[in-house]
Amino acid sequence: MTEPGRTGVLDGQQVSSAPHRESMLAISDVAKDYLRGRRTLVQRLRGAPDERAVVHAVDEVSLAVDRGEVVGMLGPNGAGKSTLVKIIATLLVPSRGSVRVCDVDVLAHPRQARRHLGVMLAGDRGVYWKLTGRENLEYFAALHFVPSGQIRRRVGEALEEVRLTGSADEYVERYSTGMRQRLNLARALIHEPEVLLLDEPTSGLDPVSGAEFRRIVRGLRQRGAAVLIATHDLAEAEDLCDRIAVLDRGRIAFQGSVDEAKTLVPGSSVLTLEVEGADLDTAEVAAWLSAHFRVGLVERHERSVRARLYCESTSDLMAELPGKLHAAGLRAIRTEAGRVSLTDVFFSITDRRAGGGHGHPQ
Amino acid sequence: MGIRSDLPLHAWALVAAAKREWRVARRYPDVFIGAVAWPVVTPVVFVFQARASMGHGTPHRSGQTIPTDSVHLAVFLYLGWLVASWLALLLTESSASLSGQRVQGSLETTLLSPATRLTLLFGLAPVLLVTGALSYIAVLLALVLGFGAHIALSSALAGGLVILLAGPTLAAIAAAAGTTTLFMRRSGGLVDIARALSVTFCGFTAPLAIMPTWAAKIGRLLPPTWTVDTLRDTIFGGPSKTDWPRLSLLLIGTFLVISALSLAAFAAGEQRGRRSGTLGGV
Repeated sequence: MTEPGRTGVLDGQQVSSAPHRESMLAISDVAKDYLRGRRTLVQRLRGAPDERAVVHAVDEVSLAVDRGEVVGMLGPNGAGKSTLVKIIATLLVPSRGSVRVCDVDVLAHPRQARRHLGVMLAGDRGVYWKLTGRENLEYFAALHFVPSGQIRRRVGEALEEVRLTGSADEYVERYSTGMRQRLNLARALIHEPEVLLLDEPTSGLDPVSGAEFRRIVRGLRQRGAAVLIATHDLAEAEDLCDRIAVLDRGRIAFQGSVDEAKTLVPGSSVLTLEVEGADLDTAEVAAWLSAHFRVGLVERHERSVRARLYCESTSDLMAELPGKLHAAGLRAIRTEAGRVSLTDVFFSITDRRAGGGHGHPQ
Repeated sequence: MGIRSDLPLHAWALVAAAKREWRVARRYPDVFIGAVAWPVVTPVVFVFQARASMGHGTPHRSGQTIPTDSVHLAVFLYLGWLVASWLALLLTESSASLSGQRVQGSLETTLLSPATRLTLLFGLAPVLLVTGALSYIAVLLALVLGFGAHIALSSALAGGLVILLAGPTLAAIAAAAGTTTLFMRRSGGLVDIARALSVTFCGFTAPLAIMPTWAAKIGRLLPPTWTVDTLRDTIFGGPSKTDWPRLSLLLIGTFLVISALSLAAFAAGEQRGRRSGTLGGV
């Protein structure tokens, strides 16, 4: 299946374009609406008007993942990432839109689509805790139609891939969270799917396991699998993903490459500034900073306010900073220069301010 | 890639589901101990109670087998409680298995697979057939050793065949009850109602002939009643007292109908869960 050229888009504005490629996963104008709250039996019997508010968990999302491509789906809690994963995985029916997996219409032929999909849902649930790791994989291999003669080999390979061979015959209830996560990944890989959906795959993993996970995903990309990862981990997305899509309040706020995303931040360098003051008003500091600098995230700490200031040259910025701060009666207790990261992109796109500040990139 | 051409793969998935349930069940031997203990211990109370209240001998009505002495009474009640306990276990375990999978998230991961939903509905059935067979053997031993009942080997084997024939039908009833967990999240209350209704109408503790006509009519429509009646007839009167082709046809036909209804109910529940996003809810 060939999709139109990929474009990086921020709030409807085209950022850049890419050549035609083969899409393994294509999502078009998908939306999922829920009704907030519940309607009681008495209300139903009385025929009272339904006054529940409609919540747009996913709102007209279009996205494609090509063969051999890893796409990161980023977004704050409640942005709609898991909902979208479940829609693609056939566990949720969208209110509108279409999803195709390996050219199979997921809504019309969910059973057929499941053959191409490997899904790792968020959390360490989803496997049978009263079975061993090996028994779990044997069961799920049969459910995914791995030929009976190949199950033993595939289970061995999957266990090896996630480094669980040594604990394969232990009951899952004795596994650590990280081991259960890895078993879940092995379960998703057991039938060698062409499309992988991974929802928060590294939450609960230690750094070594996280690095192991990234090694596995790189292997999958090399094998030609299309991988969609929903994650909070910006460093992981930056390290692993060919493209990212940032979801905010159910809508795609940006999609494109990580480099394209970084162009959205007004500067190539960032200076982290921490000003002293337990009783500083974060909003006032943010407003003042915004008037003088290109400001990103502004957040309150116990005895200080921390801000990220964007620039082309941190040395120039550091030269002018002390005078301006002094004039405003502010005292810097820490400054740290660095390169713009996906964290900056994420906060500028989603406009999240952890400390309740109001700064905007300029 | 239609369901018909994939039939062997679906069948293999069903075998894998049964294997999974068996692997889990063997970690909990109390299920098997319970399957033996309940139908053996519980009827004792009823035997003593009946002995105290009715004395010896009761008339025959409607040509149905009615206990006439204490050994007959014991056989009658023990076989009744065998089916009652078995049915209770089937209903409880099937619903608990499905709602347990829902809570631990494995229901969602199973639904992610292309395999037939029969794996979820009937994976547990072979384990429950084994518990039924164990209960039956324990009850026979209790009757022979505890009450001195003379049960011919042919009758005992024929009784075993009844258990084997009735198992899938009763498992289908349990599967149907289990599907309600998709609609109601828990089905404990419904299972209790089903158990109460079966004890009331299926003649486990009293012959249908002495029940009110309307209640007896309801009872005669229910597969557990056929099971317990046939078991009693076989044990009391030998294999020749049973119309085997008719019984087989009835039980297999009922199994197919209830299974199809369960599958349809499951599909409806799954679709509802896929719309509302409650498949993985607790």
